[in-house]
Amino acid sequence: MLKKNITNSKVKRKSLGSFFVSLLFLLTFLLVLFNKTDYFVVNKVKSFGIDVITPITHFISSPITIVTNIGLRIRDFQNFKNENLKLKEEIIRLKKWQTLAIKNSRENRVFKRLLNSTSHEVDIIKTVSVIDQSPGMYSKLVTINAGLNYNIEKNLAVINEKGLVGKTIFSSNKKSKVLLINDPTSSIPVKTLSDNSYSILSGTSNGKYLISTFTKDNELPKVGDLLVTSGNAKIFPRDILVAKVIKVSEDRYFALPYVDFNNLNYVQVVKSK
Amino acid sequence: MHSFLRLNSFKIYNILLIIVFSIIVNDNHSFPLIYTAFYCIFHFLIIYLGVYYYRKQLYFIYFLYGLGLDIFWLNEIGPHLIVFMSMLVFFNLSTKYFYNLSSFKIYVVLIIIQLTMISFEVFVSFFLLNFSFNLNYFIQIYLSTLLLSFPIFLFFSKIDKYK
Repeated sequence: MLKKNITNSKVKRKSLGSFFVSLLFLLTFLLVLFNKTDYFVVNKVKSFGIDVITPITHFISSPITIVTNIGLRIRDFQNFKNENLKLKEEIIRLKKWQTLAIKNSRENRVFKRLLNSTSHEVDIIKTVSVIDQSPGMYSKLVTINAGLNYNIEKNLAVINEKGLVGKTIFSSNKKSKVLLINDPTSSIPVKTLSDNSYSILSGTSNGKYLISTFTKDNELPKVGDLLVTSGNAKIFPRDILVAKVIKVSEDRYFALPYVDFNNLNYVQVVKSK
Repeated sequence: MHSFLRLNSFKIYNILLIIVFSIIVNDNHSFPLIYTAFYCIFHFLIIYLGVYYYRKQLYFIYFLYGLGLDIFWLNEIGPHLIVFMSMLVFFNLSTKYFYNLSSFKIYVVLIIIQLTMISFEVFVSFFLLNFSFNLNYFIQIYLSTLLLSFPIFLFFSKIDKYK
């Protein structure tokens, strides 16, 4: 009798296990399917994953983060002297530019008043810090520490002091994911500062450069031309610095982004005014 | 209660898996080699568990890690989840053949499985989600796998002694 009971419970446990495994496979199939079709369920899963798991993984990996930071400090310390010299030179150069910029800014204000023109400055939604950066094997993403709680939604431009960083592609309650402009799937409408020729850029597979995927009327820019956002996509506000043209071939060109994607600490989420 | 708290090799591997997962989903862009090394260790660890410690609980573990990697790295769901779950079915069907092999042959099989698994992940992400294929990263990961797998294999064989 006891033997029979034990055998029965074993059979029950086995069938329960099989049912559970089948359920997991069904869930896998549904999640992959919903990823393509239904955004609500997938967004809920992603939000939960990012909001709940990130603090735990941060805590667990904190010793490695501390060691990495110490390594970075040591590396910085070794370059201390050279950096100092470079900075001194840069300060002298920037002081000259500052004088010029103040003069231009004054002139600009006066001309605007004379023309009674409106400005197209950007609205800063929030200045946030970058908490994670994806390794770059698949996609170039960063996570920022603000989400729907600060009105950061999908498809908002992200900039820093050097220029365009990317756009938000997903927002949970407390965090958002930003697709960097050097990702091959990104698409940035730009124009040249010199002759206003329009084109669309996306990242190269190694993430170092931007490549043109479309140029209006096949008008290719010259090497050294500066590229700024054209404002055509309605996501990126106009006239944000993007990249500098470094190579022009027959039907496309390569540009070097201004933003250093390996040193992203603070960024601003903005929208057009 | 006592048996639940007592560490055995399976529990040690799971603790290692949590630690390695936490490291690879967090920011390590300052030292990319660290990230690549842990990425390889994570894959080797998950394959090792599947081959030597196959049990139904692993389906849940693979499901969680597959989903986690997809959400954190790709912001899409698919490649890792599909490959991890399929690999576990493969381990279920094939591990009986591994027992007849020598230790060195099993080690070679593990490396081949790892390289195949990473390749599949890249191909699935390319075909399913249009993610680009970066040959440099691919070569870097292949080389790291070949370099790191033997010391990891030795280390794991020490952990196996904790019954």
